[in-house]
Order: sequence, then structure tokens, then C-alpha cells
Amino acid sequence: MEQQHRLVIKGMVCQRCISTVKNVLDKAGFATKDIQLGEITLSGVFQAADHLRVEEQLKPFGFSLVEDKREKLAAQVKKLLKEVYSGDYDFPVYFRFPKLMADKVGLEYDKISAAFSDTEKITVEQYLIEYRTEKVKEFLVYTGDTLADIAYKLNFSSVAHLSRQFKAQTGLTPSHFRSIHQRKATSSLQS
Amino acid sequence: MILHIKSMVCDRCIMVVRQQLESAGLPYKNIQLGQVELNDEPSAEQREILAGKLKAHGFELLDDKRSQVVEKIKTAIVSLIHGDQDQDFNLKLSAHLKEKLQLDYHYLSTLFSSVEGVTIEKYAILQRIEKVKELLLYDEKNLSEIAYSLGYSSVQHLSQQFKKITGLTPSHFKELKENNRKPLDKI
Repeated sequence: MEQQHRLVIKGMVCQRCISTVKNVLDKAGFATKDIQLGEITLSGVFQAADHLRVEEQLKPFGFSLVEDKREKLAAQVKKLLKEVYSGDYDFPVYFRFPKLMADKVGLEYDKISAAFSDTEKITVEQYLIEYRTEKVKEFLVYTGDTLADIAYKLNFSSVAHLSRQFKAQTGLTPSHFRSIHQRKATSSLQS
Repeated sequence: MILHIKSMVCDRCIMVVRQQLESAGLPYKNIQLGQVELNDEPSAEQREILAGKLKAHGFELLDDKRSQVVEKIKTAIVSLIHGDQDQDFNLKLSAHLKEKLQLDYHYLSTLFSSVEGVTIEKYAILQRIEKVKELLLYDEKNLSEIAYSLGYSSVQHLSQQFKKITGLTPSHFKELKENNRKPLDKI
């Protein structure tokens, strides 16, 4: 499917505003798919840097971008998740990420979860699993930590839990994964 | 020499009009919403050219005295509701217009109704509802904040008026996710 990105623009009130916005975006090299009062749809890949560029281009004309509440929420969740699963987080007993998230963000879990799934096209749970797996890989390759250490740092209930999830995600056992990468490292040293 | 222009509602309109004046080679003293002050009287031909250029952007030159006054009323209402400065909601619309245009409100009101087919009050309501739609779309303020910022006495008042004009409740409008906004000069 073709990528699209919707932006909400503040300050558009008439036809002239629409043509101004269109000119500005054309000049900046964005492909506008649809422009209406207050919202535009761009086709193609859109990154965070583009967001800033659009904002800068539109500012002299008195327009500004409205931050999407849902996207903001999703970004907040990701940031929190990164903090928690950094390896240095001091997990309390009975730690539950959804609960922490609801407390920190100040909204019910359902709402946050719905907003996240909507904007990221992946559930918070799945994102968490993937993120944690990536983190495990990182520890396996760059540190000499034992599986038990890693499981503890990333709050897996047991080594078995970590291994099972790792295998489910990557198809490899953690120790196999580690040995492959060590072999790679040594062979690249030798060559 | 002052020219009156129809359908100017925002800073972009001013910008576009300025570009048209420059491309038509007409020097100007200043440009405001609804009117342009030229240095010299344009010739009939220049006027024609400018009118054509403006028309391409949805503007219109107004010759008729009555339409000029009506446009002034509209501009005053649009700037009041959509402008940046904080509104003084204690000041009645009639008093505001009287002050802005220096004309008797009764005269203005009769003129506006006869030319536009809606009353000034109704027109102001439509403009305000359009502002509500805009704010709803931004999804930054909740309904009570919107009501407060636009001088409604209560959320109920806003909801009722919104429903009456659009046929939808504000929350329903928000859920629709369809853009039903209108350009301000088409109201």
C-alpha cells in the first residue's frame, strides 16, 4: 500500500490558504495528495525531520502544525518503554508495564493502547515484546552477561521465559544466537 | 483612492492581493482586509486587469456602495471571531459594529439583511460555528474550553447552537473524521 501521512494545519480558513499551502509544499518537494481546510494528506514516506521542515516552511505564512494527540501519546509510551527496559531500571515487585504506563500518562490503559495501535499499527504488547527481544540481542552480543543476568535486568520472570520468548521471536535460542555472533566476531578478526 | 474587495478573510488573502497589485503594476499605500489604498486613481483599463487577476483568486472588486458596507460588516465580524486578538465578550456585536463602522446599527442591520438575506446576528452565529468546527478538528481543546474561548455562556448553549446549524452534535462531528469545514468567505 502507498504510504500516506495526514497533517493537521492550524490557521487555514479560505481558498487562498489552500493554494498558499499547496505552493509552499510543492516548492519544498512534498507530494500533496489532498488539501482541505485544516488538513493535508501527503503521499510518500514521511519522517520526523520532514515534520520539522513542513513546519518551518509554513510558519512565515502564519500556519502551524497541530500535534496529533494520539501520535504524541504513542511517542510517550515508546519513550517510557525505552527507559524501563534500558537494563538499569529498578523493577519493583509485581511490576506491570501497562499499570506504570497508565500512571505516568494519566489516562486509562485502554485509551493509550487504542491510540498506540492506531498510530503505530502494532499493539503495545507486541511492541514491548519486540523491543525487549532486541534488547536481549544487544546484551547477548555486547556484554558477557549470563542469561540469568539479562532476564533479571529486563524483568523476565525466569530464564525459561526469556528463552521461550526469544525463540518465538527469532527462531533461535539465546545461546545459539550468542554463539553465532561470537563466531562472526572472531572470524572477522582473523580475516 | 480606495478599492473595496470582496472575500478577503485572512493574512494569506492580503498576501495574494498584494501579489496581484504588484503584478498589475499598481503602487499602493496599504492593504487591509476588504480594502486597498492605491497611490493613484487607476485607469479603466488597469482596473479591468486588476479585477481579472483578483477574480482568478476568488476576489471581487466592489463598486456598489451598499455591497461595500456589507463587506465591511462581514470583515469586522470575521476579524472579531477568527482574529488573533482576544475578544471582549461584554461588548455586544451591535456596539462593536457601530464602533468599527461609525454607522447606525439599525441602518447596518436592515442593509445587511436586505442584501444578504440573513441577519447580521445569524451571520455571526454561522461564523462562530465555523470557528468551533476548526477548533474541534485541531483536537486541542475540549468542548468547554472552546465554549469559553468563544464567549458562549455554557457548553449546552454551544452544543445546541451547533446542532441547530450543522445537524450534528459537536462530538458526532468530531467522530465523523470528515472535513466539513467551509471557507470563511463562502459563509
